[in-house]
Amino acid sequence: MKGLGYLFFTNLKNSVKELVKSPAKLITVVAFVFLIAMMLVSSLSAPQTADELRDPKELAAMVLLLYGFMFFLGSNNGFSSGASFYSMADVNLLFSCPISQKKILVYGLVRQLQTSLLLGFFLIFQYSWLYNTYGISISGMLAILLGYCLVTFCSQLTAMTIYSFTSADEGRKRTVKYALRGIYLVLAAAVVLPVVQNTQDLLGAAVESATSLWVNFIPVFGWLTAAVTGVIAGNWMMVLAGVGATVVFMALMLLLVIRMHADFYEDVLKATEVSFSAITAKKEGQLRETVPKNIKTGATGIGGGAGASAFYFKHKVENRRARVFLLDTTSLVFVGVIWLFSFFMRESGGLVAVFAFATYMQLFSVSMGRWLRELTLPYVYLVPAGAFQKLLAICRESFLKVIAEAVLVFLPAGLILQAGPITIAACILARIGFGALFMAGNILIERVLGSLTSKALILFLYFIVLAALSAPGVIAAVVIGLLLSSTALAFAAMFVWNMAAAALIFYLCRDILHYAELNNR
Amino acid sequence: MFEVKGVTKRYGKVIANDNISFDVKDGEIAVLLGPNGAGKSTIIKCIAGLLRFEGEIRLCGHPNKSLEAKALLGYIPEMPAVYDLLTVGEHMEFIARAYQMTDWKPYADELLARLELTDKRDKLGKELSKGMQQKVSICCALLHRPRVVIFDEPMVGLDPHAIKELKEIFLELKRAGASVLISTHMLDSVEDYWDVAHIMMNGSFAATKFNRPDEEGEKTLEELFFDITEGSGAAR
Repeated sequence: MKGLGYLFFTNLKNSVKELVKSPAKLITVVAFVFLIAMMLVSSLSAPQTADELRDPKELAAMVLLLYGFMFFLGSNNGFSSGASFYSMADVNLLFSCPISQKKILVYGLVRQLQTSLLLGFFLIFQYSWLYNTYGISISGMLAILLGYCLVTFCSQLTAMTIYSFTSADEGRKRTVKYALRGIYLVLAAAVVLPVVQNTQDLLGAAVESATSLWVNFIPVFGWLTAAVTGVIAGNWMMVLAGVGATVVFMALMLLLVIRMHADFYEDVLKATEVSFSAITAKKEGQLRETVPKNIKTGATGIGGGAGASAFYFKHKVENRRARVFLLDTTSLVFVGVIWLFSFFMRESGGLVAVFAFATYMQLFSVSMGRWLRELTLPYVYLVPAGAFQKLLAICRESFLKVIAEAVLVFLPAGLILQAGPITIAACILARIGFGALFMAGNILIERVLGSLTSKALILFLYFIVLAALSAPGVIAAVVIGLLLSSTALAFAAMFVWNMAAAALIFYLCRDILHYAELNNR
Repeated sequence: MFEVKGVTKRYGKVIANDNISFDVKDGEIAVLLGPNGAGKSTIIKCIAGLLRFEGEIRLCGHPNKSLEAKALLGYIPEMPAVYDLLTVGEHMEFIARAYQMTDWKPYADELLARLELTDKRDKLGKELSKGMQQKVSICCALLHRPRVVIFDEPMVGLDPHAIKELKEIFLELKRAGASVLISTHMLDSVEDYWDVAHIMMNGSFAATKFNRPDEEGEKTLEELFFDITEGSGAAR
């Protein structure tokens, strides 16, 4: 165990040293700690009365949803490659060492726990509103965080067990996959059905259903939700039962992995190779897209284009193969979420709130366009066509996507919110304007900060730049909206500003492909 | 031919290329040798117009970032550059369209056949092994019959047949009057056909050697390389 201990602590020590050497990372960590401290101080200093608080059952329902989702996602990995606890260096160096496999398994689990803990830190940022809305204490917040880490950890352990059990037998894999999905469907139906029956108070019915007694008996995420609500309510029996059951579950899974496969190296090797190639691709600046496992090639041929426009026709072929019809899966999920949000907002009629929420989500969907992937391969720089022509050609597909998305989001959302046709049209235009502006912002970032290698810094500046670019349009919209009392005119003002700003940026950055650097971000 | 004049490339405080000047004439094969981190890939990317730099690079008289220069350049990157969702055949068609070529099919077929990719024509980029992706990259770079061809570690991942075929392609390019620059670690892979070799150390040229077999008493390329990189010899 000496060698493993040395490896673990040296890795830990070197990552701290690395942090000190890299100012960008250090600033990020300091800013992160500062934000957490500020949030805790400001939340705790804000007075709060019990009658202002919302029903804590809502919190329990949200925790269940989060834990359930994470567990499903994590354990599902077991059907593809098997989540791996090890790096490629571990596989190459440790697995050939004369160290017992069980010790190496424990080492992998400890490392994984470390990663799970880091992942859970984003939850701390929710403390402020959780405190103000549900009056949650710091111990309650820590319980949610710990529960989250345990769920993630258990999901990966389950994935490893599933992988070990099913990797050698396709039929078995299919059976377990459908069985697990079936169980999830039954559970989801059991929670959703009572909600459908009570259309008067959807939210209340959903919360009641998700906090029923039987939910506490669902393995792992149900148990841990019970334990967390136990901590918040001071019911220590529930905490003990929830945590105890989870510990037994972990021990059982571990035992299964060890017993089932005395030699788990082979399974781990394949899983590690898959994640290693994904990490390497990312390091080399290749933005890999999520493509279906089995791609149907269909008709072959680019089918059109000459010079720069060949890129657009190539994007069309790639979209067809990736089964993207105008919008990719992530964008469709975003669209669904916005519809759902509109549905919940329908009584307050908050088209502006829905628009703000949708625009926030758009920040992420725009930065996933195919044109950004194009910048990571040499062809777009090498092809002998004008830099501006190439820029327009590689952005064409994304811009069409922005238009389609705007119509798909706000036609139904507007109808749900009972907005008039002119307001809906203005809203769609405003969304298109934001899409164009965000694309232009991305180009500006590439043009100005293209040679920076710190991802954290680029992301930080990306949000700052986009906020600054959007600000005049938002201010104009607020002023016009207040003066003329017209939502449609406010949206129209935003559209005009955003399109004008986007056009100017596109023009100023027209030579980006002439000056850009193909770096290894 | 192409000329590199006083090219310096900085990444922050690190100087990856320090005031490099050289040229490769028509029908000449130049090799760039040097240990890892010597700056070979950086100068190659500068020539290909993928990086910003100080200095001047001209391809057949045109600035390297001009459209005229781009039309004359073929670049084979160190990491194979293929599109996951395009078939091998579509890579060829895409390049032909992007370079606005006519009557490109016979030459595309010939290249695919030489690199044993004919039966992989309908395979997607993501389904290919790394070696096969490298072969697709080579075909894409050569399809438009460039006058200046730059190879960055082209042999890595290739099978013996492809290496043999690639060496043959180098010589054909030379005979056709193209200027060829090859960066490599593998000294023995360039032994038979180089005209001029530049040995790089710490971002600049430590030595330049011309291939004159009749010169007696001169160090072999391998001897010179190890003298320089292992620190005992002096640059010529």
